[in-house]
Amino acid sequence: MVRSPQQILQNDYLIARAKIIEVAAVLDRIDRAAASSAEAHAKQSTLNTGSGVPPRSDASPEASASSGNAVYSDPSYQKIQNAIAILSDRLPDKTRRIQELLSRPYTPDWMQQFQLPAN
Amino acid sequence: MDYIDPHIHMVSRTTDDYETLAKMGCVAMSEPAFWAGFDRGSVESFRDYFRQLTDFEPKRAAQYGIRHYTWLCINAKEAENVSLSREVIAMIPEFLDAPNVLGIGEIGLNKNTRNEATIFLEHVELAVKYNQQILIHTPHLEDKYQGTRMILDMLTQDSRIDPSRVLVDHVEEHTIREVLDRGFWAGMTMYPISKCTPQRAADMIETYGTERLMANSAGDWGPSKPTAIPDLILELKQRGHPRALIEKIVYQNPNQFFQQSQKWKSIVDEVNR
Ligand SMILES: [Zn+2]
Repeated sequence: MVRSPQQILQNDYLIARAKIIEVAAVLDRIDRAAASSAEAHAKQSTLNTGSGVPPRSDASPEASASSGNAVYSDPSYQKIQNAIAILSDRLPDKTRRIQELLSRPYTPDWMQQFQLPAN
Repeated sequence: MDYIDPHIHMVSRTTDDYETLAKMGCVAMSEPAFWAGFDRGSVESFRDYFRQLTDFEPKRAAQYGIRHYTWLCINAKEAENVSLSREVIAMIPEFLDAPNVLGIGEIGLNKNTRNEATIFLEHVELAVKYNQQILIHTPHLEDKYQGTRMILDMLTQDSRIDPSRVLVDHVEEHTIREVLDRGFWAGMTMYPISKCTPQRAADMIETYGTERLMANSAGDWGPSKPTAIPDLILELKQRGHPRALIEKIVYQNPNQFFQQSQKWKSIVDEVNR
């Protein structure tokens, strides 16, 4: 390797910093939208029931979907969370492992499934 | 520094781009046939496209001292139209003797469907029949891992295919090892957003070495940067890599791979005179 680990850290620190902040901003953006749609939903049901009691966000699938919390169980959101876990583990090869996490799986018997002529 | 862009779609670029590339050191390029952004309606549309690739583009490039080569096929996105694909495959031999045609490409998969695999195999038959080199497109994003492995399965099960005459493009961190281990050439395609960057290409060079590895810009009609190779050269220089290593990636490797075609040889000799 041409550069020392310290040189790389110094050189790429600002790049990593900027990209992590960007990921944080995406997550915050999702949170804000989820919170505001939960609020709108609570108002709506207060109007509907007149009870003044906001519904629990996990009360029913529809309630949770319309309250915005459904996004947290969306597979794409889960993938981001799992990728972040890879970022903070102490194992090597993070880029390849995240790429595989974000890929469709390979099925070795695909040729039989497609009934392609074998060579 | 002189360099070769092994995968760039110049039909999508302006003449100003040719000028910029020439100023940045591009001496030769190879342009695989690809998707126009919409599905073409007939075989005649492909015939005109192949005329553009074999006649008009080399002339446009020559104005700036750049040698232009090309590869012919119908791309994987249009392979769902199996009958049109077969008409195009039957028409391709009309152009194989053109002086800038290096082989069949970029063939590959897009969504990894049965029709795509069928048309891929028919292109491989064409390449074998006419003893052509092959340039491979691997799918993007979440389909790349599965699709690259499917393509390698199809190529390695065919004993007539010599992997040293096949270039597999758009490799990334999770596909590069298998491509190189199986004896193929590998190309890293650098995009400004969403896919591989010059920085990550430099990382892969540091991880996997320089054998049978090259880099390209794609330079297509989408968000892409035709000057991505000069960006990689700068990145490698800034990391302190020697000139010899950089030249191997951006000039000698593509030169060595393409030299397997007689057509390339004569023209690069001319460049070097
Ligand atoms: Zn391409």
